[in-house]
Amino acid sequence: MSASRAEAVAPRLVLAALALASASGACADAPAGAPPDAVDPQHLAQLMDPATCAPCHAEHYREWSGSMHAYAADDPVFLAMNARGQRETGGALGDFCVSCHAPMAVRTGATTDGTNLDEVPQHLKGVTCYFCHSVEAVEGSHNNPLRLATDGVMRGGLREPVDSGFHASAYSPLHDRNRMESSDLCGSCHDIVAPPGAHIERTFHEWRGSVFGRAGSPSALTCGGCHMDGRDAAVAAGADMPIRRAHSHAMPGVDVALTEWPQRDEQRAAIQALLDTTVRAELCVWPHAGGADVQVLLENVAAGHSFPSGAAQDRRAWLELVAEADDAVLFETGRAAEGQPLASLDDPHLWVLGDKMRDAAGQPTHDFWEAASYESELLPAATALSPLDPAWIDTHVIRTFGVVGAPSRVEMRLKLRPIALDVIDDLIASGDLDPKHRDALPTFTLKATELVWTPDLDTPCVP
Amino acid sequence: MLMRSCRTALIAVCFALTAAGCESDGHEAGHDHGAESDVKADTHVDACGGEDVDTFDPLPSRSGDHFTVTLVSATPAIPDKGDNTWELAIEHGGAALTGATVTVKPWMPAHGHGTNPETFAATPAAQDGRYSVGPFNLLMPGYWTVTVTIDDGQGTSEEVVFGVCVEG
Repeated sequence: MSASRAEAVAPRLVLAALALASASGACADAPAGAPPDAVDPQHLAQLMDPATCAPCHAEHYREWSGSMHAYAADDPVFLAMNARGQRETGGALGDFCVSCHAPMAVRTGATTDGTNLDEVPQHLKGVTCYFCHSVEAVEGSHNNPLRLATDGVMRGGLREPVDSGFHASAYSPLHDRNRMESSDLCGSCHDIVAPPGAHIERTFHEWRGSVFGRAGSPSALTCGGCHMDGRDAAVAAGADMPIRRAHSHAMPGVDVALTEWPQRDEQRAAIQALLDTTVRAELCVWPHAGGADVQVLLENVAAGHSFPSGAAQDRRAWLELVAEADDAVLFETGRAAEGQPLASLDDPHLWVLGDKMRDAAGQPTHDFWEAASYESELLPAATALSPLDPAWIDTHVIRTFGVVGAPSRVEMRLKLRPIALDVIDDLIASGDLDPKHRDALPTFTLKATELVWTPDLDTPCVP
Repeated sequence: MLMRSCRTALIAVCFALTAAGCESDGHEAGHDHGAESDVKADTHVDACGGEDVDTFDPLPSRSGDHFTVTLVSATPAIPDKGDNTWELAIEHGGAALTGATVTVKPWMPAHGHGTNPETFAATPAAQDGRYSVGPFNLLMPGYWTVTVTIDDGQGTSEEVVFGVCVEG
């Protein structure tokens, strides 16, 4: 935990724990049917502070504290983009960004546009416990159409919740990762239509169109199925609490904290583990007189949505491919040095997976508030298992590269930067992002795509 | 200093909570708020329903026409999302089968994909007829088949299939 956040949170933890101790005497021994007055504003205010949750839900709180949900309103790239967007639109951008990055700050009136987040209390920033666990309805498919209850009932995915005495609890299919509805909740902010109309973030849309989003099918798998790992544990502190299937609230994706933040290494390791199994690759080398054709196959096996996804206009996944003969490089593409933007490469073969946005005049733009359309080259998720199914699309994406000369070694790997360095540099140049954050941006290599071919393997294709 | 004093206070609070009886009376009160009645049956995710799932307590055994494959140890004990390592005991006619070539292929039929890589070679373990394989990464929840292919090197080859439900 960063010093600043620790100092901010720790006293609140103590106060919350004291409040719990005095209010109910314990985490779970209050008389059944006697939750506190659900609509008491003071009680609601307590519930809105994630630190209130920590004494009884310590592991969930710890996981969430290191998540991108907790970081959403502290992320310097978000702050920079919002600041620039507000400036360039003369404030017309409004709560477009902050309604997902700090929804409770918007709904409590602490901010209207996110430009004053440094003055907003920490407990209202990010995607908080109260925000998700108060959702009673999803009234749309993008740009945060969530309706919150104001009854103080904390909704979750557990049937027959134990009465806590501190808050009333209820089962909700929106919070049950074994219900398809739970993806509607996640999708509400993981699907974004820009003000000019471009559907710039389509993770939920992609999932719904895939085999993973087919309700009633054995292939169905919700967002939580992949992003909220289960464990058998008590969900709240207290003696004799039932052992349930509890779920991690770290919720890794691909975005990372660029500043000091709790569990930062843990979060990056979880992201790496997800990425390592997401894409399947095959490398084939077909020698011929004068050279070889090198064929690379990529298949999005496990994302459950396209790869990359989310803010795909800001992400860069790309192929690094090198063919050598002894020590001489015969062919190379995608070889970007650490810290080198892909945009600076003079590389006619560069294979980049991502989106490109265009404004209303059809010109390329990095600014989502101008995005009227987009072009996309992503690895799609499977939409059907059989080519006979009308919904079927071929998820095998193949490119062939011509190499002059006979290679003695060919190696490839797929790399990913959660945010492109040219996007970062653009924000630095406009004065909206501190340059110190640039070096914190990682480049991931997807393990399953690291392949090496040599002639002695005596096979054209690996693996 | 602030951190230390807060931790001390927290420990004191936790102690107070424990002393106050931080326990449940075992009553699980459900505040359903009508949620169940609103749920459509086909939104329930049940990837393993109706599948041929092996139980792992006790560990399973599967037989083909020639070979019997028994899972003698598994880490984790119940297969779960992530890395799994198995040790198999293989018998032929009641005797430990040594010198065989054994491969393992996990597969998710509902999604039409396996693992990365798709096939894993098992290696002989210390005891005759025992083979170790893994770690293989069952990368998502749902129903997996784990196909064990045995080639005794003397012209007999066979597959046996375990059914695994990964809860995730």
